[in-house]
Amino acid sequence: MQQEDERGKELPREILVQIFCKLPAKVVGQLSSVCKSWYEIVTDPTFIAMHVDWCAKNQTGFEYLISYTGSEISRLRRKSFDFKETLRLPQDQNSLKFKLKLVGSCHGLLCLTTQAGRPYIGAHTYLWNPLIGVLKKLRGLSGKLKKLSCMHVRRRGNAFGFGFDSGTGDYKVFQIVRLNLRGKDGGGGHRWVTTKWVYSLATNSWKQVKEADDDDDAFPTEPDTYYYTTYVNGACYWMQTRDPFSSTVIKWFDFSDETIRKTKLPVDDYYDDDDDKDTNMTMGSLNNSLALFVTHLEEQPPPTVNVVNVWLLKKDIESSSTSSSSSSFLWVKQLSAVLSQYHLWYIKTGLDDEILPLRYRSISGTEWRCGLNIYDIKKQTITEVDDDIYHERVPEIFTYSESLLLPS
Amino acid sequence: MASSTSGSSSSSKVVKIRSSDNENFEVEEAAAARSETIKKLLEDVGDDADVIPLPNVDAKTLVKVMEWCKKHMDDVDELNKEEMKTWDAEFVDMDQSCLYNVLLAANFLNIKELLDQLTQKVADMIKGKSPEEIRATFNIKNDFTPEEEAEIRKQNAWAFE
Repeated sequence: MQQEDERGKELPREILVQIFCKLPAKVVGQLSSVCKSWYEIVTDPTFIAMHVDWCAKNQTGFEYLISYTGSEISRLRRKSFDFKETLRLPQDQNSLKFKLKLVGSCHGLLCLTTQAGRPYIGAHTYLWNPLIGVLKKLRGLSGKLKKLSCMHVRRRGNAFGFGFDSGTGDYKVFQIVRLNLRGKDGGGGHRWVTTKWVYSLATNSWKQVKEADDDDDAFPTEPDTYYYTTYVNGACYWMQTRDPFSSTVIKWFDFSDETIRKTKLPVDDYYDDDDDKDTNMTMGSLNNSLALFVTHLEEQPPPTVNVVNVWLLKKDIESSSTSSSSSSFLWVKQLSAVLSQYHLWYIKTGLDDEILPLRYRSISGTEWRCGLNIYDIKKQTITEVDDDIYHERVPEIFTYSESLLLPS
Repeated sequence: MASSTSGSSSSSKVVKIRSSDNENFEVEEAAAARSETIKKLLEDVGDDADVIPLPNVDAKTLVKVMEWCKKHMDDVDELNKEEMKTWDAEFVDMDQSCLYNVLLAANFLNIKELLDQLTQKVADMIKGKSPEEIRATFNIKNDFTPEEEAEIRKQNAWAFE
């Protein structure tokens, strides 16, 4: 058959690249042993970056990672929420005594750091590609901290963010660290300060981030202040309450311009001793924007329900470009959802317009467990994920898609 | 050749294109303009255009490509989306030499959506196949020495787990 001759025709590289982008990372890994020209394409960092970009834009191969404390992470499939497998965090051969926890996920790379306790959160930080099994230990922050005459690093309350700078194609780690500094006059005095740092994978180095009109240390911070960060679209966000009498702000670090911005909440944050009226706020992502979930109980008419108002932080296109910081962002109320009384507290969003509320469930008279649910925004229905997920601790939830990126 | 003219009955503008094997075709401009390459050529030559030569595409392939362009000439409304999906799926289901030729033509003519559908088709053909099966399907010569191949397999053992 004359067709045989035609079949030998080779596709040009630019077309092969487009074909390979549409394949899962694992399949692309297999293609390396087909022939030399395919090997060269799939091991080319430019192709790998294009593959990552294509997967991120089309949200292909995305799944959820559910992380409790401990080194085991559950992988759940998107939409169906089937349990896929348990991901076991690696241990650094040289520091086996430190247990790692997951603090960030971006483009198939996971950011891991030492857990609270000894030595302290963030003492050792790693980037890990679980698909190809490559672990990289990042340069530590201790050298920089010494220069600041740092006496102690607080063991708790440090925050992490991991993200991508699309301008330079660099991966960065952001860290908030509370430090105890020696007094300037050389005397015995010392003071606590909050410092912020960014690590660049391209240069393997940390640099301090200064915030314009930094007000972090204006009020005494509670010793146990705990930061949760949420990564959305090139920035990591955290909520900051300085003390009960001043209002909460949301701050975010932009991985591209390395600037910290802040904004007020769309609603008054409610601080009341009366538990019944408590308003609870959590952050997550929705439609590629930061989402703020404001939950409160409504008792009338019975039955008591939780009402969740969802606000999105949008760039204000109307505002003049000359304005800086928070003024060019505004809150847009996206939706209101009614959940049962026991779905609450910790809400993260996922992909495909899904909200992931956690539900508390009593397993005995005194013991409560926390389980994962999915709220479908379009259908306004709630589905419970497999019972196995129930756990006594509140999990962290990340999205993840496999990639061929080397953390170097 | 049966489909050498589009036979458009309306007053819509018709452009002439010529394949690499010197066959002339008349196609509605709206269909031909699905190709960014043709669209740009038309803009450059304006109304003076006589015949647009396409030296990289043979007649057989051009017929196929223009069949797709004609089908995708207008924006599809919601109602026809499913029907269009079926049509597209049948369209890309062609023998391999034809698929390669249309793929190369879609790339040269810069028809993004068609290129997308065709590359997806090839990606689906790759999925679920071992490297040996991929070589057989696409008639690719294994140019690794056995040692080199063993080494690459070892390096990428994670992909074969």
